[in-house]
Amino acid sequence: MELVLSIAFGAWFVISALFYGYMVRKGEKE
Amino acid sequence: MNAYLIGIIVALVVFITVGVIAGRKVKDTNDYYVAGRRAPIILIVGSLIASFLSTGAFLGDTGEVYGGFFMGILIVGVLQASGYVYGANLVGKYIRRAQVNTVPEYFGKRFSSKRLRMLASITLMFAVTAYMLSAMQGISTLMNSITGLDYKICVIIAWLSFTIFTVYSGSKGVLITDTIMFLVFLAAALVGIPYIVSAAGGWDEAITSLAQSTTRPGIIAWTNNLDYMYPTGGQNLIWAIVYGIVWAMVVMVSPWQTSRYLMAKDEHTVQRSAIWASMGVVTVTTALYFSAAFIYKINPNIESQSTAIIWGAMNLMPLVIGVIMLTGILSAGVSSASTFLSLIGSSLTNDILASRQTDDVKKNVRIARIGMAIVSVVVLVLAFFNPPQIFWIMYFGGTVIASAWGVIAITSVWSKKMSESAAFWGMLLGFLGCVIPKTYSALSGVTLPIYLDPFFIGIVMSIIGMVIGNRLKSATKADIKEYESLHVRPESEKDPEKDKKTRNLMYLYLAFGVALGLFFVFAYALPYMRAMG
Repeated sequence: MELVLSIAFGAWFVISALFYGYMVRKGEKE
Repeated sequence: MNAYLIGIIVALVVFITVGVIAGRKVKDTNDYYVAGRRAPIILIVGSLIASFLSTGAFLGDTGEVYGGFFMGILIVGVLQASGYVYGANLVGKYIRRAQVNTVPEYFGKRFSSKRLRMLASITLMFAVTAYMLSAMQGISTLMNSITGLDYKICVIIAWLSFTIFTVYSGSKGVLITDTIMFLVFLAAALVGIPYIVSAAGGWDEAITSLAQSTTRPGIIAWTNNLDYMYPTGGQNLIWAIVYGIVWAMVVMVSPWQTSRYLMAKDEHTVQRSAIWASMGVVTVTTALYFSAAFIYKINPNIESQSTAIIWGAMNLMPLVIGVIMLTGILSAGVSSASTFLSLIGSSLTNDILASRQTDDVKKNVRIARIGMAIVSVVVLVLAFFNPPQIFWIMYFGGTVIASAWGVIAITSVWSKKMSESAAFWGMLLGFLGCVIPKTYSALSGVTLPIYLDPFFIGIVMSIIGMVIGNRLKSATKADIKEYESLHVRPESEKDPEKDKKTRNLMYLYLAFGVALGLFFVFAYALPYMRAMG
């Protein structure tokens, strides 16, 4: 479980980075 | 005079001097409230982090880790830091686009509503005063414990340390002092680590010993120590995720974060500073949490858990490093307090006394300074006499703003159909939905189950208020026009070079996320699993 949570921390930041990329591209079209 | 006191006095004199010098450039209220709206990324990142992290993170959170709640606090730390990316792109960028001086002014402008602006201002003052009093208490307690000066004298020094430049310079001073203080507490969080790790017998040895701890079993396990909060790992995990979301929401919508974006020179700066702030916050907090756990390995007998880091700074490292660490912790408190004061003062003169604005530019600045000074004196009286009738307000801390503003702020940016009465009732019920259960729980001593957390009740009530409010009155043409203008990108933002730079920051953040995951796997999970066989 400690390993799962450690990987989840990194994964959550990766998901947030993808969200950032999506929103920045979306914002360029406003 | 001990070395710690000298270090603190030198630092405070530098902060005040720099803050006051910055104020000499204040020409009008635009400078005073939003620093002329031309701040570069370094000042926005510095102020975001400095306003978010205070003695609560440096002493409170580390105390919880020391007490056996490492994983719970770590989950909150990771989730809250990611809130920057969501906040800047869902709320912050758009509030800046409205070109307002304060966040309550944004709500008022978005729905052409004086009563909504007033309500936002009053909820801001309530939540920020609550948070500010606890920050002042944190600063004063820290100063008292390391210098031995009388607590009341510490309250006055703490108050002076952020009031002088905040009243005189407004946001122009706060942005610069925040950034300097951020650099000091960033150093504080990092410079002590080598000494703490070596005192703990090395990294692997420390993790192994903590994993096998018999005095506080589970201190670094996923379950946490089961005597600390809930009796099962599952309940502790749910608590951590809920509070991680609460604090991520605070990062996304709280006035002490979103107001920083108002001062950015352009929208690219808003989006980029969110990435840097997210990486900065998680770096500082992770360093602190590991430090606190290692200090438990070195000395499990510290009586008051929130002084664990102070004990480490005074006993485990060379004097000069210890001075940097304690000055840094103090800076984290002072920088949050200065932002809190400027928020309350700005909202008083800009929102509550909006009709007092004149055509005389200099007179307006004077009114703003007088408003700020009055607020600061009230805060000093509250902190100094510490009347029990007021003391309970601290219990609400900063999270009440997440309930009152969270749903409304995000919906106001993304819903064309939202009406003024939806925003008003959503904010009012969200505020009461959090405050009333919290008061009940405090007065009756009943601990509410996690699914009835006041934050949840507030969020649900806020949604109910919004739905009912929209039934009472639907969006007017003016509301729809305001909504549409929020979603028009200013011509000045359109620059292929800048677009590319902003877009490419995603790759840095992606790499940071991968590195963060690998760090926890190799520095924590694998050594932990080896220790447990």
